[in-house]
Amino acid sequence: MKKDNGLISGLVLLSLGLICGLLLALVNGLTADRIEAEELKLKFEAIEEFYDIDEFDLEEVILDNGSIYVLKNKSTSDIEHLVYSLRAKGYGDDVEMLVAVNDDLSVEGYTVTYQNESPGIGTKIVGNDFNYNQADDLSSFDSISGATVSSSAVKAIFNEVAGRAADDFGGGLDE
Amino acid sequence: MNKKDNFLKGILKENPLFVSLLGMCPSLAVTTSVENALGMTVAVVFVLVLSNFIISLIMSSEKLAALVKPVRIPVYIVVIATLVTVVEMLMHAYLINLYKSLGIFIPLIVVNCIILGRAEAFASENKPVDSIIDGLGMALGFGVAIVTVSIFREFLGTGLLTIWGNLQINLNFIFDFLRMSPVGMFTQPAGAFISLGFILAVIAAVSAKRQEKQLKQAKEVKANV
Repeated sequence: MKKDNGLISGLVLLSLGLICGLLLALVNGLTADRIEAEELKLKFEAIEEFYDIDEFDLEEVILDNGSIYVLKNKSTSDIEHLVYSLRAKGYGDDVEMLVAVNDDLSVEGYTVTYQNESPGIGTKIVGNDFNYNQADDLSSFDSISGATVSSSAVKAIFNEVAGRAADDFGGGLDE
Repeated sequence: MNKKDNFLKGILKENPLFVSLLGMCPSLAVTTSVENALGMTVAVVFVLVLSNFIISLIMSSEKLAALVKPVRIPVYIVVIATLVTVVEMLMHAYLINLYKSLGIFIPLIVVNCIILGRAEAFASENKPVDSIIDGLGMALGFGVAIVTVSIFREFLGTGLLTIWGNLQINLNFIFDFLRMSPVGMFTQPAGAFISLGFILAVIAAVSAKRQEKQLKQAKEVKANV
C-alpha cells in the first residue's frame, strides 16, 4: 500500500513558510528605517514646494487619517503655516494630498502625494487646479468630469481642511 | 539543448510576451515610459532567476521532491511571493520614485504567469544551473518586449524617451518636422492595446514571410533532388 505523506508534505510547506518569514523579517529589519526616511524626505520635498522648511520650527501632529505639519516662527513660536497631509478613499486606493494653508486661511497650494487611480481618468487629479483658494470656502471647487470618485476624494480632503483650519490656527492643536 | 540555446529561446523563439502572450497585464500597464519598463525588467529578472534556482534546488533532491510534489503549487507561490516582497522592500528603500511609479504592479509579479509557468514547466524538471539560465533568458526576453512596447508608446505619446530619472531623450523634433503633435492616447490604456497589437502584427507578418521563404527553398531543394 502506498504510504500517505500528506502530513510530512504539509510540514515541509510550513518549514518553508517559516524560513521565508524569517528572510522577510531580516530584509524588513534592514530596510524599514530607510523606507521611513525616504518617505519623510519625499514629504519634506513636497512641503518645500510651498515653504522653505529651514526658516521655521517644524512639528508634526498625528491625526487618524494623516498628519499636520506645523510651521512655527522661530523667534515667536507663532503658527505661520499649516501643511495638512490627509488621506481619503479614492477609486483604486486612498488618495493622499498635502494642502498648505497660511495663517490668513488662504491656500498656498496643494499637491497629490499618493494616488492609485485609473490611468488617464482618475490620475487627472495630479496637478489639477481645483480652484480652492480659501481654506474655509469650498464654494468655487471645480471637480473633474469623468473622475467623480477621485474628485470626491480630493473634495473630502479639502472639506476636512475647511472644517478645522480656523480652529487649528486658533489654538486647537494645543488641546 | 545547450546552454546558449536555453538562454536565447526566452529572448527570441519562446519570447514570453511576443510569442507566448504571457504576462500581458503588467506589460500593458507599466509601459507608459521606458524607465518603468526597465524597472519592471530588473524586478522580474531578480524574481524569475532566483525562483527558478530555488525551486530547481528543492526539486533536484529526490526525497524532497517526492514530499513537495503534492503541495508544489503552494510551495512555488511561497517562494515567489517571498522574493517579490523582498524586491518590493528593496525598491521602496532604494528606488522610491520607481517604486511609486510601478505601484501595484510590483506585488502583482507574484501572479505573473511567466514566473509560475517557468517554475512548473522548467525549473521543477531541470538542474539549478539550467534553470538559472532559463530564468535569465525568459526575464530578459520579457524585458526586451516591454521596453520595445514602452519605446513605441512613450515616443508616440509624448515625444520623449525617459531612460532613468532625469535622463531623457527629447525626440519632439521628429514631430516638429512632421508638423504634428505627439498622440497622447498612446500613454493611455487604449494606446497600450493598439501598440502591442501593432507590434504583434509586425512580428506575425515577418515570421510568416520567413516561413514562406523557407517553404519555397525546401520546395526548390526537393525539385532539384
